[in-house]
Amino acid sequence: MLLILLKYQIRSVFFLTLITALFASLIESYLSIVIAPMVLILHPKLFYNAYSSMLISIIQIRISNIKPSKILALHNLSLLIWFTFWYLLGKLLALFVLHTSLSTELFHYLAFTCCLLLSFTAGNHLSNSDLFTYKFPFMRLLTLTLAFAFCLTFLLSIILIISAYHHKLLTITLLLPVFFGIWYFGLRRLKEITYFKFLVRNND
Amino acid sequence: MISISNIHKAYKSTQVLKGVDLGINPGCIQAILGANGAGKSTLIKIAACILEADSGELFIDNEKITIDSYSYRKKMGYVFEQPMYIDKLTPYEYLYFVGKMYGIEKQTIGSRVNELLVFFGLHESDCYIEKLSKGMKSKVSLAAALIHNPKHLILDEPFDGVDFLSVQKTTRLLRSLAEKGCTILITSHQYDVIADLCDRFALLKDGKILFNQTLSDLETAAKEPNGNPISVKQYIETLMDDDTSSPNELSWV
Repeated sequence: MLLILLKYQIRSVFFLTLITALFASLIESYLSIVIAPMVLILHPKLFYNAYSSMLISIIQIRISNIKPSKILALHNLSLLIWFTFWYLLGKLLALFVLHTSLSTELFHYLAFTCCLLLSFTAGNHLSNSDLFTYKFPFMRLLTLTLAFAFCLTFLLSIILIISAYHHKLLTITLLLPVFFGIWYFGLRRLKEITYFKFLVRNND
Repeated sequence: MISISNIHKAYKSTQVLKGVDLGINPGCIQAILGANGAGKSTLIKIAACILEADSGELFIDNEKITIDSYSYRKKMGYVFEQPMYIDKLTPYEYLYFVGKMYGIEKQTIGSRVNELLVFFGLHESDCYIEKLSKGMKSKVSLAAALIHNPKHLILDEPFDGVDFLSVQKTTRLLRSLAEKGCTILITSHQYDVIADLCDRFALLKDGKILFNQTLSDLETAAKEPNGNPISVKQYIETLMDDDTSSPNELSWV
């Protein structure tokens, strides 16, 4: 299933979205500051509106007996693979062209992965929250965007503080499994699509 | 068994279903007939639990189905009027994906997908689904509904755009599924097709089931007001369209 998702994403418009990670990665290395996660804020649809951006419709998820947590996990993993692929390609180019240090790039990479995992967690939570049942599309978009951007900006601020710290690589390495755990257990708690209940009741 | 009991549904101020009752026994192929806008698709969506009725109950194999019901889904196969497929996948990839969604084991999926592709004549279609014709897309939807060997099938206009030969082949398949105990609920505008296929015919009109009879019952009932026998098709058409105010001609033709 993961392979099919990956194929779909490379064939569809997602390709253009994901490739932005390459340029963000290069700029990040050039400026030597953690800014690549900003790319994630620019593509919120990939995270908190997962059901409409996924290849498979919400109705198909509903009628099959796949668990929403499984389909979201696959969706998240496919995004993780593509983002990481383009990001690391950028880093590889930076290492050869800009002659950046490996430890700095490793810190950037781990920080980017932490932000990705937080984006998935926040996105999965928002996709299944009552925010989607807001009657007014503008208010819905505004609240979702603010909530998502706040989460990422908060983490980015922490990462920027850590980057000034002497043991930054050790700290970010310890943070990564924490974010992975939050993402994993957040997904496991997901039993049903709240947003779908709203659709079922209001579908006309 | 699928049992629909006293279903009511309104869209804003329009009451579409006004107390629909329908019971479909295992092995029965039940047709839902009705004019455009009669509420067939609404009834299908409610039976598929992707639309909540305002009131009434749905039972599948004696289990009351609500929005939160989960276990029954594995037993169901659906074709909706608006086909669901993934445009940028080939039929093989899509069917494989759907098979995985239903939790079919890896070794079984491959053989089932290949068999379905050959059955529906899709085995030579290596292009993306978005590039297939309307009929081919309908076949993909049908194949996706059958891949997990469902116990109950709910089909809304499944033969839309499908060629005559494939329709015949599919109806034979549906018949053999019914003989093995599969419950099938089907809507179609192609009366000739479902006349040969279905065991029971329900006519949905003004939000209610006008009748639910077998073909032989309908043949007995099919008479003009003066008692002259008419074909079942004509009889159903007469019952469906009793709007005398609607003209049969256009002024400029």
